[in-house]
Amino acid sequence: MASSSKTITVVSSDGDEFEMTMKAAEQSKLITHMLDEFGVSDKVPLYNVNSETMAKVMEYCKKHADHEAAKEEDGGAAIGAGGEEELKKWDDEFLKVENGLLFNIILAANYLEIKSLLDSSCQAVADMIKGKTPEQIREIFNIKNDFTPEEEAKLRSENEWAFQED
Amino acid sequence: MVSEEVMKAVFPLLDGVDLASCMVVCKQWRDLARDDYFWKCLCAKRWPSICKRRNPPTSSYYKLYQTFYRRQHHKPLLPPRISFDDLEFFIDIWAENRLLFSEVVPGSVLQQGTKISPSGVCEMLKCHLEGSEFKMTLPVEPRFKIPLSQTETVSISVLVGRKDSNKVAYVINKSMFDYIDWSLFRASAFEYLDISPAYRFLSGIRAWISLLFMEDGDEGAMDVFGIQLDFCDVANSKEEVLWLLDMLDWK
Repeated sequence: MASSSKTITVVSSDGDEFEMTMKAAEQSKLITHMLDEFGVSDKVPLYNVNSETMAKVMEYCKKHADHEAAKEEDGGAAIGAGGEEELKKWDDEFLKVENGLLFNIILAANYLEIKSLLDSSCQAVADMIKGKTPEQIREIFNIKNDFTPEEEAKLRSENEWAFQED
Repeated sequence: MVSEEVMKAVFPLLDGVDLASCMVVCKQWRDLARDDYFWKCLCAKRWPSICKRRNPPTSSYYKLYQTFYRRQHHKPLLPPRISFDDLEFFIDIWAENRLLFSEVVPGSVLQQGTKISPSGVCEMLKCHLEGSEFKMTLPVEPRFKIPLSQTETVSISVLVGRKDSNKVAYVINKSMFDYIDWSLFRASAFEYLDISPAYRFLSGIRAWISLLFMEDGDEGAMDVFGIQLDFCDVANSKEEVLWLLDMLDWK
């Protein structure tokens, strides 16, 4: 309904303000609901998202909003057959960030209800875990092994079914 | 520390093996991954019908998944309930009405097998006997001879007794040596085993008994020096044989 040039302002937990177009903002269900409730004139405070994460999320929303707009325009001709694949590649590159930021993106996507971002970012983390041993997982996520040797041995034997080679 | 919320969002995307790996990473992950909810989701994907019941059919969905997610092909055999020391074999061999061989063979002797063959035994048979696979063989001393003209009339019966319950079972009621392998110098007879009615539907398992011989060219006879018993249809190790014998129709 609103013209694509209309923008709204969101405020991160650090107090920084970010401008986004309506179309981009609509990527987030939460923001959409808040705007419906409270109108567009006020700035939308997002207490749970810091500036670093907010910047990334904005980038995502803008990209996906532009992609949607292009689809709607020429009836999809502008995007072409490879369009979806290209977007996926963009998403993959977009998520190649340091783990801390990636986790914050997941939390933000969850809070802001941006389903596609939540799905992609969670899948990115899942892919880091797939096929890895517990030691490898600890290294990737910089997690300290807080089991005693006995506890770990017990857990491993309980889960032997998963560690067995065929 | 990875946020709990993040892991709760990621764990549903993992398969069972990866989720189990996560359990071993650290205490926080262990406690999260143990939540039966994730395992219920895995079970639901794999066996949707399972979740039509309110409660898991086993104590937890975790247990269900880990037990059934993959067929186990290496099933370790439980230790047999009897040992060869409990058994003795009653072996009688006839050529027409003439008794060629009649002995009670303790299980322990049969289990050991005979690795030493007398001179004159063909190489192939010698190699077979010296091999490390489990075999039940016994030496025949003194050796007996079967004239070639009479080989078709030779029959054998084998009963087995067990000391723990004082019962006896057929291994071979009566069978002729129909199969003569001239390359291996073995004359074999077989019979289908009588399995206990406690194990219905098991049929077609044979006991094979073979006479191991050397050819006596001068007299045109089989010079029998050993006897071999085997259940090659189904049982090829000591434990397997003991289990099979335990399942016979003991009376």
